[in-house]
Amino acid sequence: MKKGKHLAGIISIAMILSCLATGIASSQSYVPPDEPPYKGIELTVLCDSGHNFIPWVSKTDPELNNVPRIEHLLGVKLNCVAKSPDLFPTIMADLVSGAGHYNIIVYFPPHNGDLMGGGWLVPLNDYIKKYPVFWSDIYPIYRHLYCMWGDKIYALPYDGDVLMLYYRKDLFSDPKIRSKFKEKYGYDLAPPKTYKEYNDIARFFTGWDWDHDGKPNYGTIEDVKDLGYGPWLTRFASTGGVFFDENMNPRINTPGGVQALKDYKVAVECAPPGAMQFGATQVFKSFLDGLTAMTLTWPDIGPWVGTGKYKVKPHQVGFALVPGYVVKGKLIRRAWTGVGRVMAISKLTPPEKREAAFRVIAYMASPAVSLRYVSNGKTGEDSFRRSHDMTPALWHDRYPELEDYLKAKMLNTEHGYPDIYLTGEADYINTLTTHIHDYLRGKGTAKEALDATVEDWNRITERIGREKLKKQWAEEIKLFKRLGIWIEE
Amino acid sequence: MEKKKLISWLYVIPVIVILISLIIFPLLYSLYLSFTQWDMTSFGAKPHFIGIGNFAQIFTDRRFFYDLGRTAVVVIGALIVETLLGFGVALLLNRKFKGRGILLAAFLMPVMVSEVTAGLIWGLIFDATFGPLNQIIAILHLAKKPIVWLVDHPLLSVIIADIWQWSPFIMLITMAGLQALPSTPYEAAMLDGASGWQILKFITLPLITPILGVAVVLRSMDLIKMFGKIYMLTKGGPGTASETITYYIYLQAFSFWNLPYAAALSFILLAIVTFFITYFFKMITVEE
Repeated sequence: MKKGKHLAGIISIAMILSCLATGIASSQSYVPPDEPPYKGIELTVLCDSGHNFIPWVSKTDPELNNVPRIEHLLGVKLNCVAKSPDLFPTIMADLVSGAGHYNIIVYFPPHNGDLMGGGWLVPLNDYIKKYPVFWSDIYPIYRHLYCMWGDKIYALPYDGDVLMLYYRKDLFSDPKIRSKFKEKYGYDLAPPKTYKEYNDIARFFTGWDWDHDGKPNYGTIEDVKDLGYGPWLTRFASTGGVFFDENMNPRINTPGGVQALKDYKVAVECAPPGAMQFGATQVFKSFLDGLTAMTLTWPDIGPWVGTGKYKVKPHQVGFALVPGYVVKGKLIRRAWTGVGRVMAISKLTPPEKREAAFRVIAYMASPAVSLRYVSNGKTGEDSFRRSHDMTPALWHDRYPELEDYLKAKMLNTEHGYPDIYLTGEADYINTLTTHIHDYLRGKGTAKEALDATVEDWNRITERIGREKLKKQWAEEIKLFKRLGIWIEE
Repeated sequence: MEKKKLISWLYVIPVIVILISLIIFPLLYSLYLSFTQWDMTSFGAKPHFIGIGNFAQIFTDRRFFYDLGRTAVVVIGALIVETLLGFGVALLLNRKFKGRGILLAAFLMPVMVSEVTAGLIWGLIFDATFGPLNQIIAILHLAKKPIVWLVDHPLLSVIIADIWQWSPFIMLITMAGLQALPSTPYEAAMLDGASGWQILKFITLPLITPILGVAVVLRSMDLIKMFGKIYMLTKGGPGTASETITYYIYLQAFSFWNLPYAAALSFILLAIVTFFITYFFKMITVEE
């Protein structure tokens, strides 16, 4: 078994190296240092600040400090600008005003409807023909839904987000805890396959001191504050739900959507006090500091636990596919691939600079370079290529359980479900989030919250233009069908 | 003479340029935008005239009315406490005693920090797990479990943060007013044997009302346009629990990129504020 695993790893490494070699031989993606082809070209990169900025500029870790390497290889001069949250207003202000200050923008793919659909980005198809980017190595869901609009490629991935289920393996295998759970719920304690099991387990672990530190512990924690709609969406998607029908009528207030919201509320009630004001990093820390038995959150937990800095150690963490619902006799499990990040070129970039800009983002998205930053717990970036998840031996923070993490990451990505990629996404999501938050705080019923959202969504659709959105949504449906996400009612 | 005229124009022109470019032009352009529809997220799109469509939409926008209600709660709630607190502290400090200067400086410190900084500080204070406020409440046994301020009481949290920051402003204006009051009525009252309460009620309050009125108007305008604290503390959430009309205008303009609608909302807000301030000043004048 061990020999087989090593062999798979060696084959994966060999594949990557041969891809690299082919790439170098057949294209000019990697130029010898004495012929930087873009000397004299100055480009400005806009990226969100904090740990997502580190792959560009890192003063403390030379391995992650890519800007000097890019400048040396390509001859460009890169100015990197880090902005706090609310990157989208900064990007739009730059584009709409015509200032064109930023050439390369690193943004969240949910804004594709506005940026790609609005015609603000440079198509990359011709550049990709000239300089291969190992396109098929990128997971299909990121390829099609993060990077494309219609049949054109407008971006390359930078961060592949997907929700994953993490649980405390040590607690789940404790005989006393297992016996107590079976006595209460009548089935064996195991990583939950359905949201009913997830809620049972969350309730079971809530309110008692299972880690014997004198303070009560909790069942689970999810990111309610910053991305409050995401945990609902991952549940809703697992009921076979879709945002709209072919005529852009919202389809979220179905019995499945209502059940998803009710189940989400149970999970929030099994979280530590104040969890509704926890952002993503606080969610990670709550789990890694041993406060909760489970968490449904981003892939960052894998690299973070690998640093060994936290109370919870790698051997205590189990990684699994998110739970789901049984629909028409079939178990559907869908993991929200929301947020993420992509790199694109602003249409306001002068034509003579665009190829250089493409070479920069191609470098950052290339298999070897991107593996360096997605495998490092210091950055906020997560894997978006199959080669990332198939080469545990090349990861920065290695630990014995890394392979289990990477297998779970691949599985969740293959069960991925996207955001709304339409014009006006910010408006749709803000409305959905406000109604979900109101319900979670005890205002009204789940059905009322979703009905109110549907009413508001119809207003947004009329404002933006139903026919325009129908065309965009029709393209999304094609991709959903191609990825096996669209379920006919 | 001609030369003198030219020189005086040279002094005035920069101010006119600034006034036009930063106040008059944006105001007029916003007014124009409020009568248009503009798909700003589409490359090359231009605004097109739709008449009063945006204004009509406001009257069917439930979120606008809920936000207006929340804005009123913030304004009235914060204003009442800030006025009482500021006025009370001003009365206490309006006398000579040792350490008065240091105490005054300490009271004025919150006014020196920016709104964003105040929001950051209070975000830490209100933290349910680590915040000092909950720690103090726990020590005094005032609550059985930690209070999740920013989730369960988001609007109150914003009001508390604002009271901390701006009560000293009312105190400052009131103190300046108290020191400018004539001494004759006080001397006469003391000769007549009036009590402290009678002096406060029949002399100080009537004389200080116009000055307090100005402070109240200034603060209410600031409260209506409060943004930094809400952004740092709650971002209008959870849901819309702490969303005020100004935050909603920000969302429409810079999150949803619906600038024409945001412009229309701004003008409706301007009309409401102008009405109330005019009415308020009339009330004060009638009382005088």
